[in-house]
Amino acid sequence: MKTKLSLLKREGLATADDLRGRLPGEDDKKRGPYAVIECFEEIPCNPCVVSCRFNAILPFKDINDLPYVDFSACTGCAVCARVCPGLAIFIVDESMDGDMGTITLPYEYLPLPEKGWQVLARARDGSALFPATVVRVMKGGKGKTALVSLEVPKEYLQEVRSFTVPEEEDSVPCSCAELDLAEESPTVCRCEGVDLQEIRDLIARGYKTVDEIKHRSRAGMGPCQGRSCRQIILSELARDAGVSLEEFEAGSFRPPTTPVSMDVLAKGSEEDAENS
Amino acid sequence: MISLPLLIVGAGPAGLCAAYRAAEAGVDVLILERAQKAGGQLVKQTHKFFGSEKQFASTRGIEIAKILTNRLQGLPGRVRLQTDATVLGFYEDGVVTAQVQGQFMKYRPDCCIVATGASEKTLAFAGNDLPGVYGAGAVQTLMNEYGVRPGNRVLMIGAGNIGLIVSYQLLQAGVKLAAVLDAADEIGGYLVHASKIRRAGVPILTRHTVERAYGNEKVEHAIIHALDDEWKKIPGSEQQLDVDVICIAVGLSPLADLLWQAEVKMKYIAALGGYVPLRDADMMTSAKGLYIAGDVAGIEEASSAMVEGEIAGIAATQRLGFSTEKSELLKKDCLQQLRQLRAGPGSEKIRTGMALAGGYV
Amino acid sequence: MDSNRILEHPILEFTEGEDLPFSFDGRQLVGKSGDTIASALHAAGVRVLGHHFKTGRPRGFYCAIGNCSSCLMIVNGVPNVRVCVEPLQAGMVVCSQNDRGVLP
Repeated sequence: MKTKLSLLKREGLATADDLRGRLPGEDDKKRGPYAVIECFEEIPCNPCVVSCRFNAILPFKDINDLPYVDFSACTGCAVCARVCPGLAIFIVDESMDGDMGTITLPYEYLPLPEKGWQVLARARDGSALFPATVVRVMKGGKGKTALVSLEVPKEYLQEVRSFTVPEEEDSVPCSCAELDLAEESPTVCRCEGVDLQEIRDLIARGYKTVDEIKHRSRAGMGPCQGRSCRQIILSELARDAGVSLEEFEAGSFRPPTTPVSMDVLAKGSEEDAENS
Repeated sequence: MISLPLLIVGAGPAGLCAAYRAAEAGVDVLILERAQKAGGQLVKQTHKFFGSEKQFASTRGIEIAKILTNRLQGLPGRVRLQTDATVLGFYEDGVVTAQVQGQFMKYRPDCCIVATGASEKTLAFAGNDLPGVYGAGAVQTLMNEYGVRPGNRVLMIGAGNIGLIVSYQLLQAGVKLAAVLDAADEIGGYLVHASKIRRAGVPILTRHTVERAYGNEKVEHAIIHALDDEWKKIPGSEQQLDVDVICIAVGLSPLADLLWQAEVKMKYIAALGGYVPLRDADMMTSAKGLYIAGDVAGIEEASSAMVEGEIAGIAATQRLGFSTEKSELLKKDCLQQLRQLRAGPGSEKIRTGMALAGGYV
Repeated sequence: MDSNRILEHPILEFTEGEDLPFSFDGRQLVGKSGDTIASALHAAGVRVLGHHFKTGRPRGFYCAIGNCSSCLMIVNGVPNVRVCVEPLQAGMVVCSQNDRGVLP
């Protein structure tokens, strides 16, 4: 039994483990707003570090490096959150007195709320937490993401990562009706109407290449030139032979790549004849 | 028959970047693009791109398409961008045939860069041909190019980058998502994309697959089930979802028909998405003067497609004798960019694949 | 009734095109300039574009970029038109295709 994959890898959900080292100490929390960067995967991407005017994101040796915030330098200016392609940067402010702080969230849906609106704060998994008030909105643009700040209790600042503008609840996803469906074979070649069972029967009868199956069933002879079916037929052949796909011939490819009317071809050769 | 120095097939990110580098060095370029406008799949990408400034990081794909197209004006070499132009065939004598705005054309280019991109893989399940089962590209096209919602409630098959990005785009267009499924045991795409749709409340179900689509003449329901460690169905795990669209995002294959016709050396490399041409560090195939760039050379991100395009453009320029001192330096810089883009732990597959294909690692 | 049209989008701006009337199997529909035949039909709620000549199963579009040929229809009497990449024009007569197509 292999070890269970993390929630992050299975669902994109960050847990406390993932967030270790991503949050400031108590002193920096009191100083003012700061960026929480929930980017946990080494991918080639650097706009956050390039955009920071305060050098508050530790310099990258390689474009695939992970971003770590230097909380002593971060001002929570949110420039990085506006440019992050992954919408993975959140600005937290818990420097004020009292029980409430603000969380600033990237937001690319409609409607863009306005200051004073009540919205429904949601967690990383989208579950509803509580109604919250919008305290600031920065509009988006071509390369910039809109940012919306919500006032939330300080103990929820690391929980709220999304919100929705209240609307009707969606209908129930499962109708759970009793079904009595006849067996049906998946379609392999849409153009010529050839299903998986036909392909498997042909393979069982000794047709062992893409071209043989094509000639017998017409799968791949339609106007799409085998673009939809060839890959499924190849996988079936490989599975039957118990070998990897590398060992199969892809079959022949001939012009034209797309249907052409006879009219177009005829006119083309007339012009050729005139020019020669 | 039209003779010309450089023909580029496809005006996506790779083709446009190739044209830019070639024309910058003084080469006249003809780009043939099948669609009605340039940009390839970029024109549907509403999200901000990853990468570094050189690959337009944190600019949205739709904006990158405009930048790449607009910068082809006023260069030393003339770029002719011909849309509504489908290349039909490649012949052994170097002749390329095309249907250009309803006219049959023949070209004989000295060099050619094939940047045809990819086509979507399909998935075999019962009812997979019902109207409402759409490729992820189709959903993007409908939504982001034509402004039409593909449906009201979508089941997404595939948690790779395309599945996750299109899921997010659906939410942005006001469409509900029932779930995102993937047969693999972990998310294939960037985790930040997954987190975005997860916090919108969309379940991501790994180790799940779609069993069947059904409905009267079109998709009305889907049945999904969980998979065990041997990828077999876990009995009793079926769930029925009421959806009117099942979106298929199970990966891309290089669209290499023309390269097969040109009879260049091809190899099946699973890590690159299927059959790809063997190439050298200049992106040249086994046929002299025939180059490749972008997804047709192996499925990767648009950022590397752009850099590969630049490399092919520079290399073709050098082959045509338009080389400048700058060319070699530019090419070196591009190779360095490619190495960085492919350096992360998530790019291990790409590195393995590229090594097998003969490309620069 | 174009309830499938996206009128507002957080990132994209859709300028409303001019109306292009066309017919589908005798029904009068209205698309917008910039539409393909397939996008106009979809916006009007039409999912089924025809039936397969061999299996009789309903056909819709699949790839929407002219790769798969799942969306063949008869347009102004011409069969096998890939409607996902065919720009819509005013007055087009669009019909479901249920056979391999007959030369006009």
